[in-house]
Amino acid sequence: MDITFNIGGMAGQGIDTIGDLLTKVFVRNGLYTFTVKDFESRIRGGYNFTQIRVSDRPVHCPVDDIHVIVALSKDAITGKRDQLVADGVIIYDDRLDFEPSEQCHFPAPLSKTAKSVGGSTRMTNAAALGALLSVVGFPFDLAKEVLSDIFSAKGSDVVERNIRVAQALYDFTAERFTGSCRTLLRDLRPGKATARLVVTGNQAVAFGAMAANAKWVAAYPMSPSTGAFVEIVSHARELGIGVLQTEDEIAALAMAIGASYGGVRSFVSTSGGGFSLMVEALGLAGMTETPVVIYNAQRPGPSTGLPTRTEQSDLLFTLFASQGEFPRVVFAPRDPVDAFEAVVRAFNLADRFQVPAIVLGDQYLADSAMNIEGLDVPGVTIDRGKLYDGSQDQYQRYLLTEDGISPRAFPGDPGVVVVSSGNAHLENGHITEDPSLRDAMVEKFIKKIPAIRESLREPDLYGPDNPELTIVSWGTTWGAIREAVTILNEKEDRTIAHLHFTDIYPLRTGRLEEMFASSERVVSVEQNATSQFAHLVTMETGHTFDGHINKFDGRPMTPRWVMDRVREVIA
Amino acid sequence: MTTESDTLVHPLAKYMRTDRLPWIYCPGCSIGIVTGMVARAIENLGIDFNKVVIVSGIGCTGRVSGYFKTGTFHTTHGRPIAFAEGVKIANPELEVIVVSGDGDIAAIGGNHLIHACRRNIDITVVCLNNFNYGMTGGQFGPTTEHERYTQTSPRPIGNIEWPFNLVKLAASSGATFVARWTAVQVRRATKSIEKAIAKRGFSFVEIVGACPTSYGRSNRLGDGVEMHRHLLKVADIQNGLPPHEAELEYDSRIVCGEFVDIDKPEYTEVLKKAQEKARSEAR
Ligand SMILES: Cc1ncc(C[n+]2csc(CCOP(=O)(O)OP(=O)(O)O)c2C)c(N)n1
Ligand code: SF4
Ligand SMILES: [Mg+2]
Repeated sequence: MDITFNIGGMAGQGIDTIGDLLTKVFVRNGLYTFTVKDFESRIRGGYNFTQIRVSDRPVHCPVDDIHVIVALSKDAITGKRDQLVADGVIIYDDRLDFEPSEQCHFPAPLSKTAKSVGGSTRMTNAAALGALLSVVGFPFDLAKEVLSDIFSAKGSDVVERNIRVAQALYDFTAERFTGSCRTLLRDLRPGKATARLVVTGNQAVAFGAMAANAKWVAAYPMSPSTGAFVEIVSHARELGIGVLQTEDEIAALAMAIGASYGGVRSFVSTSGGGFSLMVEALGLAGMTETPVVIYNAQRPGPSTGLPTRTEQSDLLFTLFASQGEFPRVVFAPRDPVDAFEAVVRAFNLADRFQVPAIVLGDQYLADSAMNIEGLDVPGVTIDRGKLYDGSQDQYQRYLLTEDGISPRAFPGDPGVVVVSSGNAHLENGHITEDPSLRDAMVEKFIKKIPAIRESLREPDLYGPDNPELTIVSWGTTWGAIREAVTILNEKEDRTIAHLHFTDIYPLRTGRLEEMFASSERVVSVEQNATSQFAHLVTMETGHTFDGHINKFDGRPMTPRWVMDRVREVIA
Repeated sequence: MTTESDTLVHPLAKYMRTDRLPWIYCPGCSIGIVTGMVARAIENLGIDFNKVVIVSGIGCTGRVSGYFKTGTFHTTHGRPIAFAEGVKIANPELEVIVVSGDGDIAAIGGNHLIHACRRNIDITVVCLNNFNYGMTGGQFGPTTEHERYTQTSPRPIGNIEWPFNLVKLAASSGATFVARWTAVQVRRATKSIEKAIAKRGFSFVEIVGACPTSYGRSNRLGDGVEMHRHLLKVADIQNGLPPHEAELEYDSRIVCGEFVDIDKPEYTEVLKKAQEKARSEAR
């Protein structure tokens, strides 16, 4: 079973709420959901939609086929109609100027009933929920449950009125909506999934930072990263986290680095434009060996680009940002669970190697939601790296050691003063221009790189040995590509392997070498125009790719999109 | 049948890219009013479209530039003043007007604001102060009052910081024309924007406005109409008051008027003279 609902309308019409309500219904009924949000950079109007894919198996990406459209504006009908499957259902507000041409087009008095029964057109979302539950043949009690859940904070009157509106539409639909269209939805039955936690990528990132004991979080709002910051703000008091919304991103990273120098784990969240402003401070973190974790939820650039859309085009910028040379760690998680883990690992590696760590997400990960079993918070271990044990006569922050890592102490620790500088410095942290010390300090930096690489994970490998084709990818495109590869192998007898990276840099090359040796062809699939990851691979291994598949329209990949491109490559 | 002559055309439509309508703003937002003020000021001064460049940053207010038929430069968040300075220096004949939000001008762009004031470069900045970051969902910003609620300063504590008073900031940084009006004082505000454009020097006009969708909602200030009614009620017109007395307390008193109108050497003129001098000395 694999059914997709598309709920569309203008910004401000409450389509998110309809999506949330519907997701709750499915999750409670043991199904897996995957939700993407498509919206414009505006607060009101325009055309936005929420698309929920429901299945009895875990799903990790959106698909092209839509089974049910719920339309609160005309654009919501015309915008997605060509993706509607045969006999697909369109439930639309009967105030819209649209002539139904098929029996499955169902005009429903959504806003009218919201007004007449509930007293406000705001309750159109409850109306839509009622109609939807009837169409999919779920019992009405579910509406009661989820409406109480979502609106209980607003008082019992609001809940009651919402329930009445939903009931009116449920009954109306039961009576009027007949015919064959429902056959399509017959498979939609409660399932056995126990995954009850609905999370977005932004939330998972925030939970990762909180679980890793980040105690200083600074940010300047920027789509699509803001949700992560807001999530942390909402828990800051109970967890004793210092959160500060700064005057810009320059201040955010500077404060975070200051806090880290002062002894606490610190975290910033931003998007590419903000990361651009952070570059100067990033260099200071590099030079002063101050750990910090940066989350960049990428969006299409350059400049303001497409603020509410997705892309993987900051990769090479992230790897090389700042003047000078210093080690850093870069992750690009593939889904919320992976994001949670990547953030925790980023904190630990940042502390262990005293380097900045960057987690690259994107709008697709940030704003999409899925239900999962849970996040392994109790399993989180915290490794603060080498800490000073009091054994030096006089504490030297940059003591030269075998592995290049000097024990950290923090200002205020008894008996130490911590001297740190963005200039080239001596072991004790004071400025020097001595060439041999410059050499020693640069070597100290560079020595860390292979050690960091060793502590990263090899990429995930899926598929047969000696494949006709290996697809190399990274970050959030995993779901769509994996599904595409599975279908091509199972249904079209292809032998395609999928090599997918979450741990990006310093790049581990072992499995890459194997695949370049054993695969007939190797092709990259990336959500950018210039195949940035492929360039990284070539730079690190010398191998070149047989082809590149790129998407840069700002919309997430779907399995069909990937399959079509892969077929072109194979042909 | 309607013919073209039957259709009513707004007198300022000639300044607007009507093909870009309906615009993105929420019902009850002040941005439309401020757009009208700027268009009318240009109209009243009778300046050519192609001699005007409207520069804006990023934000709901920042999107204003896109609706003008003049030259427009929609830049990056926080930097419109710096881009505008470049435009003015390249061609001092142009009337360069920056229209942007409080976050854009005074948070991320605060540094550029004070330095442009100090430099006294002949541009006009119209800053719509709606006390929050509308575009990104209503976070607090540099003009949000203490203890107000926003997405990032939630109940029950609210904002733990204190706001800038933009009039005081601009005046003490050296701006040669400084005014503040609310969005409901359209005629007076338009007149000030006219003066600001005509002024040979850095001009700063703050328009206190409403963001009903975010700030209004978070602080239970009512809808757009109610918020604008409130502005009318608390506006206290005190033309010529020393700028350091131009208080702004949203609930009770928003001092409005023109507070600074002084003459100082203007940057592009000084620059030109300096170049002439250097050239004549080189000869
Ligand atoms: C470098 C950078 N950081 C953050 C953002 C995200 N951002 C866009 S608009 C905005 C705030 C807008 O507030 P304001 O200037 O007050 O305008 P309003 O929307 O309230 O009119 C922010 C933070 C950005 N575009 N670029
Ligand atoms: S969010 Fe606020 S500032 Fe932006 S358009 Fe809506 S009311 Fe205006
Ligand atoms: Mg604002």
